[in-house]
Amino acid sequence: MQTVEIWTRHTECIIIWGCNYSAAGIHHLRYILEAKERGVPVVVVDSYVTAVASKADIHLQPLPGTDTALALGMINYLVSSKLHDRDFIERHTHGFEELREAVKEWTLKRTASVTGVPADKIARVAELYATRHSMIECGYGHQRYTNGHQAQRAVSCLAAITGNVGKPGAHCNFMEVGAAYTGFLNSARVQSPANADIKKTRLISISHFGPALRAAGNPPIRAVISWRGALITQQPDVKGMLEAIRKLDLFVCLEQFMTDDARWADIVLPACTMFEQWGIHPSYRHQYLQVQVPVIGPLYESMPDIDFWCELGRRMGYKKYFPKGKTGLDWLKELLPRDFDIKQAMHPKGPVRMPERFCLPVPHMSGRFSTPTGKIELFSVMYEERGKKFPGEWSPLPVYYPPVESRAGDPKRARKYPLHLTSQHPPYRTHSQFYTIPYIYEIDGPPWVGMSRADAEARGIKDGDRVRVYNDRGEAHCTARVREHILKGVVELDSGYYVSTGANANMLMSPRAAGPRDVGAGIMQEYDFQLDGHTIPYNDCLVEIGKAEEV
Amino acid sequence: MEGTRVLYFDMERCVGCHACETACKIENNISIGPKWIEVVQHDVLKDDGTWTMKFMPMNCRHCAKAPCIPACPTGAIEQGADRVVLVNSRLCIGCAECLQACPFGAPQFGPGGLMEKCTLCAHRDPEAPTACEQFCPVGAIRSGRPQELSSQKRKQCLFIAAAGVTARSTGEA
Repeated sequence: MQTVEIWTRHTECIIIWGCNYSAAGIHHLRYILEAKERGVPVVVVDSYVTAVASKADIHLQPLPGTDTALALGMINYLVSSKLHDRDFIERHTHGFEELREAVKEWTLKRTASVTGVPADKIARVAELYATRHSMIECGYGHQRYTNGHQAQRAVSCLAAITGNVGKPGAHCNFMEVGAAYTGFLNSARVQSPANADIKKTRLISISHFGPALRAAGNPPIRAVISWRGALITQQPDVKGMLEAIRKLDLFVCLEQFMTDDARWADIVLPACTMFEQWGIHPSYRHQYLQVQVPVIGPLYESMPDIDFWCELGRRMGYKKYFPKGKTGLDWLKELLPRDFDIKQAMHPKGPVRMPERFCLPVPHMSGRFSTPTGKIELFSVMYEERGKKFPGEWSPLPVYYPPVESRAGDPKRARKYPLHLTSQHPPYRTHSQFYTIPYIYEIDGPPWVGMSRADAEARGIKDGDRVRVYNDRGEAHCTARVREHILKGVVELDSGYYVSTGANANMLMSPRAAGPRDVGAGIMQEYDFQLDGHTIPYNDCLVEIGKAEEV
Repeated sequence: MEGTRVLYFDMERCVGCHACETACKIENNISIGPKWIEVVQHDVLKDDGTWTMKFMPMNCRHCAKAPCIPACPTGAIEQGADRVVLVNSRLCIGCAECLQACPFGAPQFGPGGLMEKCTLCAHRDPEAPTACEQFCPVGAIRSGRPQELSSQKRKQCLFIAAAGVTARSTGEA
């Protein structure tokens, strides 16, 4: 990953793909707007008209889940127009001939018909991108589909065949979290202290938590502690999740607010806020860290989270590993590299960049890649190998197929539920957090669903009407916002409304896996987060909408 | 510094995040309801058939010939030497005549029914940024004297024109 303050200085063309900076990453947006003011063209690829798409010189608005087709169409157009970077391809990629063959079917005409984006616009963006020193910045938008892994592969291949990789201002960024750089946080020392006998356990996919809880047999899962998350609010198939939670002997929640998890918990433990405990703050898309210093002591009966876990450890008989009096700061010092300037990171003005040995300012400049072939794998040997070991959709070449639950992917279902529901991050909350803050509620108002004028008129719905969004899995009750800028056939319901509001989008969503690996019910013995995928296809969902009083 | 101060809003930068509203509310301890600054938005159709959203933060413009002042029957609205238009809550009767007169919808009415509105953060140091300016994450709000803002905007025009020349010479009109 190249960070925004670096690449915006050098780039000559920006493509922001499936990424709503204005809602989820506004701290980066200023750099991008400044680059735009210097004359750098900005292209946004997004099914939504987001605020950042509204700033774009060109907005490509593909139908939901067709991003793979769009990228493949651009690759084919560039290769057939000889605008690809033959020298870079020769030296740094593997599988170009196979990719060239595979994309041949993606003529501009076909790409336009699948994506809904006009052919001349696709060609214009492809040319602009290939003939300049160009940057692609990816979000999760195009990835939260059952074909999302292939979308990301296709976009990366587009960058590789144009040589826009590993140069200042020319790269393909994926959302990286700073502190996740391998080896930076010494998690191994903390998770497996010397001489500790820690048994290997099953791994449970968080994306499949409900199904996994129900399926776990040997041994069954009897208790769950929900901590710094929102299991019920943020996982698909809420009914399935609640069914699983009802069967537990014990459901504990560490919270400050009456969230869905807190409502369903047998025991709610009063958790400290971030103002009362030590912490460490990385962030998506940059490489700075800040140590969070407690500014007040724990209020009332609350305690820092780390104290809770240590006390639990001691009471389970592991006093040796959880010494009394070890503070959050002590734990942090153990996690961070010894040469990390923790004092500076604690200073109010002190975010500290992680050392370059963990994250180069411009990675991949050397042209070496940590793949089996040492090159960028247009034909992925890693996928091919992994596919021999685990079930799933492991096509080594990027391939387009419609999202499983979409109008093109399931026409029969679409006859009953013809509207494609997409669920993006809410602009004024962080997932389900801050919903209860009056100043924020005042801005966003009661839960709403966005729909096009054509879809609204066909259902006799007017702006501001109370509506019911439903399918066979559940329903959500909201206010309709009829907007010109929403694609016909697509409806928008932000994520993160508490289930208790009656407007939670996950009530409507299936617990199916996004690829590539098919993890079944979500119980695994082994997992590779870089290869196996770990997302939920939040945007694979068909619904119907009706006026609330009619049903 | 001599002269008046105004807020300049860069519509090309504003992305409708409403951070200015929240910053203003916290800074001035405003209740739920009144908004001394509010971001408004509307949909616009572009030439290529796609839609775009336009955003604009709106506050009191502290007009030189403020129409709210003669409209107020109790003389509650005053203008200081720095031209900042302020309301005296002891004199205000909450009749909303000022709202009738104001072309921008600036006057707000709190839980007690009395008029309140943007003070340009009059309680802050006169040279300090307003709260909305300070907390705008994209730099879409700038306070300053009209002459300063005018110069900045003129320079920006030249900058964009120069960038346009570069873009054209590399093939992108």
